[in-house]
Amino acid sequence: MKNVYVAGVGMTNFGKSERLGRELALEAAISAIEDAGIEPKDIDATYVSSAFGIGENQVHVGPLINSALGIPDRPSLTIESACSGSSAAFHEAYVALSSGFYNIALVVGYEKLTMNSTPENTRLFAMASDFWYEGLNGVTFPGLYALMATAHMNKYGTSEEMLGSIAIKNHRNGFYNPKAHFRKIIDMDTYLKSPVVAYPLKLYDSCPFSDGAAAIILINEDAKIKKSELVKVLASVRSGSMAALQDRNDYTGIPGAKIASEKAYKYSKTSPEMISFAEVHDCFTIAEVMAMEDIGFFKKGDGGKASLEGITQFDGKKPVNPSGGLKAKGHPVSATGIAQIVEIYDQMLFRVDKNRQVSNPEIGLTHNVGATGGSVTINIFRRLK
Amino acid sequence: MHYVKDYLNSLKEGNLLGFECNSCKHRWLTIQNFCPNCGSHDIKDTYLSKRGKIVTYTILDVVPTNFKDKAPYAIAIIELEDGSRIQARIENIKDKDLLGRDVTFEKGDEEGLLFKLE
Ligand SMILES: CC(C)(COP(=O)(O)OP(=O)(O)OC[C@H]1O[C@@H](n2cnc3c(N)ncnc32)[C@H](O)[C@@H]1OP(=O)(O)O)[C@@H](O)C(=O)NCCC(=O)NCCS
Ligand SMILES: [Zn+2]
Repeated sequence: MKNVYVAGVGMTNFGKSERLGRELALEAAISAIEDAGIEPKDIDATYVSSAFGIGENQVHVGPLINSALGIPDRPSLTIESACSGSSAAFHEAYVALSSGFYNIALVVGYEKLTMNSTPENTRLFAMASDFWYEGLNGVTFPGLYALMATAHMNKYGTSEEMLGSIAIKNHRNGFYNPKAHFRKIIDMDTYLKSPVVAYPLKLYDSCPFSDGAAAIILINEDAKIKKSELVKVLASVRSGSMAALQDRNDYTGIPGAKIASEKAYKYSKTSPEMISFAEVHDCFTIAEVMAMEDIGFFKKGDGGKASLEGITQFDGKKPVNPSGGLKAKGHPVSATGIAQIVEIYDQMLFRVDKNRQVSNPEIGLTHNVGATGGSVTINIFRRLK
Repeated sequence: MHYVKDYLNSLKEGNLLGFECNSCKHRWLTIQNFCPNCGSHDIKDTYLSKRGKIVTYTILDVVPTNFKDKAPYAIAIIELEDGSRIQARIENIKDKDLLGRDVTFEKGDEEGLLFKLE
């Protein structure tokens, strides 16, 4: 297998945008191309992801991006994987580059959601569940994660304050991220008093519906480019879990995340102890707890406690979501996986605000979940000196 | 072996059409053509029991457009008396603590599965 590297990244602001999804995707793509110091014509293949394009009367976006970049003859693949679409796109690009079939790929994820009301988005998102057995009953995505939260709190004593500490940390980090959806520091009182969305989860446990796009240029060792600031991909692994929550034995973790991370550690010859920092899928605070446990950062049941103790702060022993996470940076669903990689890259190049810069960003991990874990991607990256 | 449509029709007749594995006796509701427990393809149609206990739950305040008039309601994962696990909606929630509560099938229709607290 050929070595694969991230050579450049780009990202729009996350939040509410007046622009079309395809325009956001293009903006992110152009920034990534400029950051990598290449021309669009250097790209061998484009991987695009969006989940709710149908809401904008626009699917099959790959060719639109390539046409707009002046490379209509290049192959494009448009991928959907619920909240983990661009991680799936990244993985496909990684596989193609490591095989040597392509040398330079553009990977871009975007979503445009804020034109819909919350109940309408809630209805749309329920389509990513096992619809006839979950969504049809009136469950929502906050609701599905709340089912896991109730189980986790009941089994391990995970408390509201522990979940609150995650919301507070991620809002704090988001405050120092100029591209974040929410740039607002919150305290425990604000967290505790926020309205219930899906008991036991509240407003401040939840990520928002965001518009936004993120893109990267991924290359293999045969690519001829000038830029030397590269981040090496040590592993990219995807897995899954039973689609419907009711068909699992346990609701306090995501089986596919555990499987994918164990493989990723094996392929990259690393271990949870060796990871310097991680961007994890905190669509709800409980999801960050489960993520940290599934990827082996903490013993099962200890994720909430570790967060309350401050271990996962940007300057703590195990920084998690220095970008602000989905909670504060925002969650334009199919942009999220690539946005996590943008953060890994920017951290490794020491080009983020010093108030959230991890001190020793040698090995970084991304954890991105589609729906309740039907799809999971774990990627591990290394800084090159 | 049945399809989702047959499951929806069974609800209207007051039944929960699911599956049972002939190899390991595991029982489930969702359309899985191979046993989720042992992987066997030797499975049959069966009606699941209509009473059970709440294993985990949530109470929804923010709901999809089409459920606006019903909020707040609970969504629970219920372990039925035959050991199978299903997800259902429970309306008229007065108490926030629902873990372990006994529930029974109330009805099923185009709004999914509705159970009630005993
Ligand atoms: C949490 C949620 C219900 C809030 O929606 P809402 O109640 O309609 O909120 P609104 O959009 O009306 O915003 C109300 C206020 O709260 C803020 N807000 C909205 N969502 C927020 C969130 N998740 N966290 C913090 N603040 C939020 C808004 O900025 C707004 O503030 P303002 O009044 O100062 O402008 C909604 O964002 C949600 O469902 N999120 C989950 C998304 C999801 O399921 N994603 C998939 C994950 S798997
Ligand atoms: Zn079986």
